[in-house]
Order: sequence, then structure tokens, then C-alpha cells
Amino acid sequence: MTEELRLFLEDSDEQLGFMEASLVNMQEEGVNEEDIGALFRAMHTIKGTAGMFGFDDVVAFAHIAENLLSEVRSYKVPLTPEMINLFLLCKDHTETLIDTAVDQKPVSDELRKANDDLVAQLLTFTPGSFKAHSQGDKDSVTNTSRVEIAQEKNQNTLWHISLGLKPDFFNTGMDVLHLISFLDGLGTVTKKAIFTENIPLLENYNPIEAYIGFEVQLDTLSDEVAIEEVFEFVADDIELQIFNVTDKEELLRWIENVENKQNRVKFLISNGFFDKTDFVTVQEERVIAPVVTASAPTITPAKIHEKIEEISFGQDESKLISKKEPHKSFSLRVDSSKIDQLINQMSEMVIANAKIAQRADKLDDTELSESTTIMSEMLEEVRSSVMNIRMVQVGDSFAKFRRIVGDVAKKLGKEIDFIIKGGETELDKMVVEKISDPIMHMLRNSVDHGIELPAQRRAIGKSDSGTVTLSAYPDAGTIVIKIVDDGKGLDKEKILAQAIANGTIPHNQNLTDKEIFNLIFAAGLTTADQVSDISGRGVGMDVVKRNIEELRGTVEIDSIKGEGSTFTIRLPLTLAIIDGFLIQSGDTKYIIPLEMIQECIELSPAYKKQMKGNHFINLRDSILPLLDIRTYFDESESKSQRENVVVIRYGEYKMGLQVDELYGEFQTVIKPLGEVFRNVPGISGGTVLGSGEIALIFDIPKLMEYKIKNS
Amino acid sequence: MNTVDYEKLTIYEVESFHKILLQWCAKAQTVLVLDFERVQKIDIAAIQLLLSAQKTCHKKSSELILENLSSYLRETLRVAGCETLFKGLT
Repeated sequence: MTEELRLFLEDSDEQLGFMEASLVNMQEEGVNEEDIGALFRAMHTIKGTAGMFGFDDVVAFAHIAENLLSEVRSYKVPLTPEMINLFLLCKDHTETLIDTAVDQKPVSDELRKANDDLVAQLLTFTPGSFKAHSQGDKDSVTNTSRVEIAQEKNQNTLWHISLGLKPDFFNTGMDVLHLISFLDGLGTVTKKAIFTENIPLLENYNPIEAYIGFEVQLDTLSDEVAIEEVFEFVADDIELQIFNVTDKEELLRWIENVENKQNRVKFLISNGFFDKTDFVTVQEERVIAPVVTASAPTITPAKIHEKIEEISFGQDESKLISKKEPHKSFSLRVDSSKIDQLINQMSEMVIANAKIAQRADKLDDTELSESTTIMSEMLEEVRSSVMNIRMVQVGDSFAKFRRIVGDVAKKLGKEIDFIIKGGETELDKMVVEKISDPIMHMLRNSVDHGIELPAQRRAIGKSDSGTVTLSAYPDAGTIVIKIVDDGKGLDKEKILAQAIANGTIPHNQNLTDKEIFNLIFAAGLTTADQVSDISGRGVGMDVVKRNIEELRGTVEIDSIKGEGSTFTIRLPLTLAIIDGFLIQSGDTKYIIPLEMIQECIELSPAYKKQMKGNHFINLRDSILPLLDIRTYFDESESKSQRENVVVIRYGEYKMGLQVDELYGEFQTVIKPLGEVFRNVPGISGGTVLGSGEIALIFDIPKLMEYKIKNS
Repeated sequence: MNTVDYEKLTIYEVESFHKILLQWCAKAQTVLVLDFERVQKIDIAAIQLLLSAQKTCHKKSSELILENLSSYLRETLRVAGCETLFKGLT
């Protein structure tokens, strides 16, 4: 797959996501301008980019959908719930068409039929199409009055469109003929001619330079902005002029600025676009006369027009603003590997700076030390900015789950209130993408196995409608994603029996509730009575856990029978650089993620006396379990005079790590340890210190897990 | 008759086709006939090149005639507003 095609796929995927989010939002919150705009822009973008690749089936379908959306956007057609459902189907269909086109597969009969059915349905709602029917029975509460106003004004306009290609136009990769064909879909092209005056002879011809232009007259219900949007993707590479054919002043203003004016006038008259009389300046003179006497003699019709526009700006401000909108740039699409490269380079700079700092200390060079401190602060700022580029709000990704939950619930005959909280929480884009499938799987499980049928809920005194909440929030250097349902909860006995039956655990093992719930992450374990096409095959939860762990995250389950279940996913904020705390145990240096540290205390003789050989201390009246790092990693004897405890918190757990030396904060560039050391329990990676030494980064969740299991 | 030996005649082919047209135009006496039987697809960059060839032929009082265009190619020329500009299309 080419780089361009990959980018196209990424972009269309994003646009389809926007479409779905807007549609689902309107299903729940009601029709609103913002979502209609987002929906239109997404379809329009897909059409434009698919056109660049010559994916004609995608373009043709998107064009018809976009036509209807354009009518909706200009309040000529109210958006009904029926149409929202139709557009959801159109979104799915567009996705299939894109996949088929990208895979270079032929369009199957089945797909063709689905296409034709959807097109027929879209045309039914589109005014001016032969299948359109009365709009009278399709009122939407929010839009009715505005639609009526628009319908009162609903008259065709004959627009003149002058389109000149700039010399570099062919570099856009867009065939202008696709765009001209789109005009056919907006209304009736009454006249069309190609302007060939500037094409040189073959001897002077540059094959990759554009010399032509088009003059078109279009009879349509669409407004100037809608026509302008057809050319949005090539706006910088064309000269575009659109005006009402009856607007003679605009015609004169335009022709005044056209290069080789006489030839163009001749061309327009000979091709029947305008009469000679249209270019006569009687009307112009009448307008100019009083102005000329009152001010300067150099005033031209163009200047008068500018003035008229200036005066009318107040009345027609919205039109002018919307004309400028297509040229605004809101974001820049950058290949994620470029950001990764930048982060890697940043990481090397951090290490190099640490080396200089250490050298400055050795040489006792205060000036150099100061410079490295400043450099360190600057690197920290740059690092934070670079990391921010990768951060995205999880809400955009969460929105797509609305439809999945809705669809699954509908299929199973269940009623679900799906609530999203903390959508504004930011997380690394790569983590967001990778966590999407596990969340989807868990949500399906919650709806399928968790929430009861309305009748069953009623029988046990619950409301007919179940609630599934998906929330996200930051907590101690991690991001927590929770899926909470108020369904029937997990059946401990059933899970245990299943696990024993299929040999996951031995018969006589004593397990805590959490350990029993965790068994559902074992491969092949399901407690579902019926296997459905949604879930229940016992395939998936093991994959869910593995995917989360690959992101250095953890997943936990809490459940109360009859009341519901909570799945808590905890993920690291970033994957590349962390603020760490450097410690030593035995001969090895280790890094602890700074955000997880609550405090550091000396393991004084008083504490040691308290311990009496046990591995916990009483810290301000609460029991703190301790993990001796020297023992855990089989380190050599301590050379340190004092022993220290670093108190860490992960989720609801607290633990103390017994270590020898405390060195302080350290900007840590996470480096993978390679195949051999990848699975060392309790270590998630390594980093290079300024001295060139290696420090190992603790995998705190794994150390916690070890301590909980062994205490 | 000169066979246009391309399946697709688009921005990617116009550079080489330009060189061929230069030779054909130089040799043409009163008429230059192009056989489009093999050509299945054409874009605006190629149409523009043909219009340049037509101008060049007119300059030396010869004519450019396009033959054996598929209905798809004719439709493309119609969309471009060129259906009446070339000879041989009717």
C-alpha cells in the first residue's frame, strides 16, 4: 500500500468516525447545527479525497449523500430520525465501498444492490430529484420554522461560474473533470465551454502545466457557498468566480480584472453566455457619475463594488464569513513516525545533557552546571510540548461506542442508558487506538451478559432500562478507564466451577473474590449460558487483558451479584519519557515513576523493631506492606549506611519499597530491554544514565501484584 | 492514421505523448488522424494536450481528427465541454 493510500485510509477512517459521532449524538441530543455541519464536512472530505484516487463508486455515492446533506444544512430539508438512521447506514456503506476500492476488489452484485437501495432512499428525501416526495410530513421540531422560511425563498438561481486553472494545478492530483461532473449533481448545467486561449503550440507546450479554464452556467437551488465547496480541495490552485447571471455589476467587476479582457468578452458572447449589451457600461456610468463628482476621478466599477460590499457587510455578514471558512486550517496531519523520531531525538538529547551535567559536577564547573540546568529545563519544556502533540481527547474515540452499545442492546431487546464521562481526558493517541478494541469487547460483554432484559429487571425491582457508564479520568500518573454496569454482576460460584472444570485452577485452591473474577481473563472461560454472535465464546477476555498489558496497563474487576460490575483499566499516560525517581538497591540503579511516589521515609531502627521479622510497618496508624527490592531481585549486600522506604500508590493499593540510596528526580527515557529481558517480572524497561550506566525501570503494577499474592 | 498506443492517457502519460505528437504534427501535411481505439481513459491534462496539438495543426493549415473514440471517452470530452471542438467526434 502506498503512503498516499495509507493516509487516505487513515483520513477516511477519521471522517467516518466524525460522521458516526455526529449522527449518534443527534439521535440522543436532538438535531443541531454543529453536528449537521460536521456530518456534511466529513462526507464532503471523503468525496474529495476519494476523487483524488479515482475511486468513482465512493465519489458517486458520497456525492448523492452530500447533496442531501447540503439541503439539510441549508434548512431546505429537515433532518428526521428516519434520515439519521439512513445516514448511519450510508456511513457503513461508504466504509465498505472504500475498503472495496482500496483492496481493488470488484463491486459485488450484493454491494451494488445495497448501493442502489441506499441511493434510492437518499433521493427520496432530496428535493429536485425525480424520487423526491413531499416534505410536508417530515417536520422536525427544531428546524420546522427555518425550513419553512427557506422553502418560501426556494427558487432556482442561474449562476455563472468561471474556473481558471493555475499553472501548477495538475500537481494537486485532482482531475478537474470530476469537479465539473459534481456540478451536474447540484442542478442543471445550462452552458459550458472550455477556455483554450492560453494553450500554447506544441513547441512551447509544457505537458505538466495547466493553461485552460472553464465557463459554466448552472441552474440550481444551491447557494454560492455550496458551489464554492465543490472546489474547496483545489481552492489554492484555481481562480474561481461565482456570481448570479442577472447581477450585471458583478459581471462587470469580474471582467474588469480578467487578463486579456477583450478576448474573454468575445469568448463569452460567442459561446452564448452573455449578450453584447451585458457589457455595455450605461448602468455602470449611472452608478459612477455621482460618486466620481464627489470624490476622485479614478474610481472604477470594481472599487464601487467593493464599497457596496463594505456597506452591505453588516446585513450579509454571515455569508461573507462562511465564504472564508473553507480556507481555514484547523489541524495539520503529520505521520506519527515523525513524532516518534522527534521523541527519540529528544531522548538522546536528554541523555547527552545528563552526561554534561555529570561532567560539570566532576569538574566542579559552576558555569557549566548552570548551563546544563537551564538546558535541562528547556528540554523538559520541549519534551512536554512534543508529548502534547500525541495527546488526544478520549471522547472522540468513545463516541463511536454509543452506536455499538445501541446496536447490541437493540439486537438483544434490552434498554440501555449509555453514559460517557470524562471525554475530555487526554491520552497518547497510540494508546487510545490500541485500547479501543478491548473497551469495545468489554462493553459488548456488559450489555450482553451484564444487563438483564427489561422484564427480568422489573421482576427484581430495577428500572427497565440498564445503565452502562464509560468514564475516564487521570489518577496518579495514570489514566483510569472504567466500565460500570448495573446488571446482574458476575457469578463467583459459576466462574469458579468453570475454572475448575476446564483445569484453569486446581480443585482445592482458596481464592479471594478478585482472584475469582480475574479468572474470566483466562483463555476459553465463559459463564454465558448461550453463545451469541456478540459474545459468550470465552474468546476475547484473555486477548483484552493481553492487549492492556502490552500497553503497560492493568485491568481489574469488581462485582456484586445482582448489583453490577466494574471493569477498571489503568493505563500509563505516555509511552516514551517519564519523570522518574532514581534509587539504588545493592549494585543496581532503578527508576520509579515519580507520579506514583507518595513519600520517602528512612527505615529507622524504631520501624525495624516494629517489624519483628514481618514485611510491613505501621505508618501513621496504617499498615504499609513492604517489598525488599534487594531480596526480590537478589541484589548484593547494601553498602549504604541507611535504609529507605519509598511509599508508592497504584490505584487503591499502597506499598513501601525497601531500597538503599535515594538520588532524586530523573528525566527518564524509556528504552526497551530487548528479547531476553523483556519478560523479567517487575521490570518494564531500562534507561541510560548520564554516566552511561543502565538503570532499570520498575513495573509497579507487577511488583504490587507479586506483593498482594505473597502477603 | 496514427495509433495512440496508450490504454490510459492521463497526466502520467502526457509527457511522452507530447513528444510523439510533436513528431506527428511535424510530419502531417493536410490532416493528422489519431486512432483512439486502444485508449480507455483520458483526463484533462491529455485533453489540454490534444487542444494544443489542434492549435499547432491549424497554424500550419492542417486538421486534427480523432477516430474510434469509445463512448466513455466521448462522455469525458462532453464533460470537459470539448465535444464540438474536435473533428471526427460526430
